[in-house]
Amino acid sequence: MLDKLKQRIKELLTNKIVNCVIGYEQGDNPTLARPVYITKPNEAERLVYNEYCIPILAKYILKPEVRSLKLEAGKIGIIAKPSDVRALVGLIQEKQIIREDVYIIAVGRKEDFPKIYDEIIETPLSELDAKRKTQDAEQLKQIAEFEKKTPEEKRAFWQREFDKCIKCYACRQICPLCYCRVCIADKNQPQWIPPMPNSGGNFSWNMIRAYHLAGRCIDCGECERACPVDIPLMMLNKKIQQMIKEKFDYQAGLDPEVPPPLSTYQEDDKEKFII
Amino acid sequence: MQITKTNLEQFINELIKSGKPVVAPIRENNLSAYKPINSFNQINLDLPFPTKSAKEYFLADYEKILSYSFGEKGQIEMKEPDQPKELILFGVRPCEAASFPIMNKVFSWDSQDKFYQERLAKNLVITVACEQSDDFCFCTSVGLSPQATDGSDIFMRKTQTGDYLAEGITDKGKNLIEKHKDLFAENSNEKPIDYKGPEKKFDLKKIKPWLEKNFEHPMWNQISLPCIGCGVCTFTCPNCYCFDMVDEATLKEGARYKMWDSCQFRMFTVHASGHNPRDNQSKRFRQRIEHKFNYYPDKFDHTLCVGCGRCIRHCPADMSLLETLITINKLT
Ligand code: SF4
Ligand code: SF4
Ligand code: SF4
Ligand code: SF4
Repeated sequence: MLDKLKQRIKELLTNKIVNCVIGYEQGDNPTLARPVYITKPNEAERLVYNEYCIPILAKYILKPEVRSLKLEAGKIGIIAKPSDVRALVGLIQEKQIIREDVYIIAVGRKEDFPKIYDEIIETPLSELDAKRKTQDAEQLKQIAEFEKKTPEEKRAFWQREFDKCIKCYACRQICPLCYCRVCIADKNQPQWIPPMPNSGGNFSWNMIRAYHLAGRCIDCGECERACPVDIPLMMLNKKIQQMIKEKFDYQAGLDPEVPPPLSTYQEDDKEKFII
Repeated sequence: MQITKTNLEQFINELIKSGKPVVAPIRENNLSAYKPINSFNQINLDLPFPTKSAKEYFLADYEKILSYSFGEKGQIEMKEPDQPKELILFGVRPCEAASFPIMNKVFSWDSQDKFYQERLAKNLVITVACEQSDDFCFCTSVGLSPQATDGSDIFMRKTQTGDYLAEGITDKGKNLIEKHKDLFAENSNEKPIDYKGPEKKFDLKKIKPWLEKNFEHPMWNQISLPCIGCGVCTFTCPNCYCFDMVDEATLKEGARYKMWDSCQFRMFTVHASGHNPRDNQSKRFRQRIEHKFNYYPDKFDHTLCVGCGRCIRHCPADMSLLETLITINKLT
């Protein structure tokens, strides 16, 4: 599979279908592959593809350094897991990228991808995707357990978890849908969110992050993975996903043609304040 | 002095009973952290190291540095901040202990940071020599080792039989041993486990001269592409000392807070005009390396890194300070 991938990337670069490809290489960390940019065909030899290819590559398409690599006519290639493609769908819907600017090389099982990729290298269910599926099930169980708690217990649970937050913003920085040029947490005239990692500051930050991703979070799990102090952020994200599904019958990142419910309006909306 | 495992347990429990908070590495779920403990049994000295270093007990992640209120006639009444408590830190790693005096160089330079200085004077550090390291450790490459006693008040080494050899390094440490001397015995012939630490991975002497000359080297762009600009590396680092301040006020009262800040954030260098001299992540990544291995040694004659490996271990994008330094070695 890897040989096929390398071969294909070489062709795409040689034929100038793409100007650069975002993929993974092996770095210092044996349990985490490193995002890499390939611009020359022979550099494709650096690519790896395995269960440690975790950091979400869709994030990197937004980096100014990468955008400048796009050059005039060419596209940016991206080696995409299902979550990468879902993130790209979100970014296209929200007009952060133009579909024609990216060339999506999906790697995995057809049924796991929204159908917007340019080509697919089919593989059996990868270890990484399988791991994600088990994690998903666990998180849903956690939520179900959580919902049995009393309001006081719920508050105490999140108080304890948020107290660990060190305001490093790794959750935001890794999130492919957190692309605001000036995040609400960085607005300091006035300071909307207390910047210190105290109870109030941490509570506001974590809740606002989750709310701003409502109906937009594509369920990649990267915020929780990046969090150095293991706050179960996916419990919040997944709960909100469930609510959006229930109220609007919508799941983010599946189809770029479906308008996202929280950033669109309909004249017959039952809430009068909408228009 | 030598202390048996049982007596060490009693020693720590006596310290806890004496009323001073005792902070040590513990495991909560899967997270390893330095936390105040109620009993010796909570302590866990195994790998992995605590994610956050013991820095927060010297440079608080946030603290109130002043507060004020307006009196009846509108006069301003200032309130002194709370005094930091005396703490005992047990089970600190030699690399982290070494970071406390290194950071003190900047906090006792042109302006005296009484918050840091007071904590440094009050805290008592009991270091335990490492018996193992992981792939990310590189203390031996920055002039330290698992046996380095810098910054420790008491230094402990485990022996082959599981006892500990304890050495009072400072008067503070010696006095504490003296006070509990019934728990300690003279050293027998037992040898401590002499773990030499990770192999040396780069030549520190070559780093600074290269950095001085290569501020604009193309390597910076190439190497920093994975970096997403979070605060993980600098906040978990025992040596990063940058902080920001913010005022919170109502019409009646207010307070000024100081909290950790990071040069990896875009906001760190944004001017009031909107101009940002470090306007991309590659410049911000370069700053972290230049500051630690060039500017700080220039000013304070010491590298601002003790080789604990946290910035690599916890980076969500697998950026590696170590690999950067090895690359620099290869370029010279
Ligand atoms: S990654 Fe975790 S510790 Fe960092 S700001 Fe987000 S929730 Fe807080
Ligand atoms: S080096 Fe890693 S931890 Fe540091 S800012 Fe970059 S991505 Fe975050
Ligand atoms: S720079 Fe990295 S290795 Fe050095 S002391 Fe800081 S966290 Fe540890
Ligand atoms: S590396 Fe950055 S955060 Fe750390 S001390 Fe230097 S300037 Fe401050």
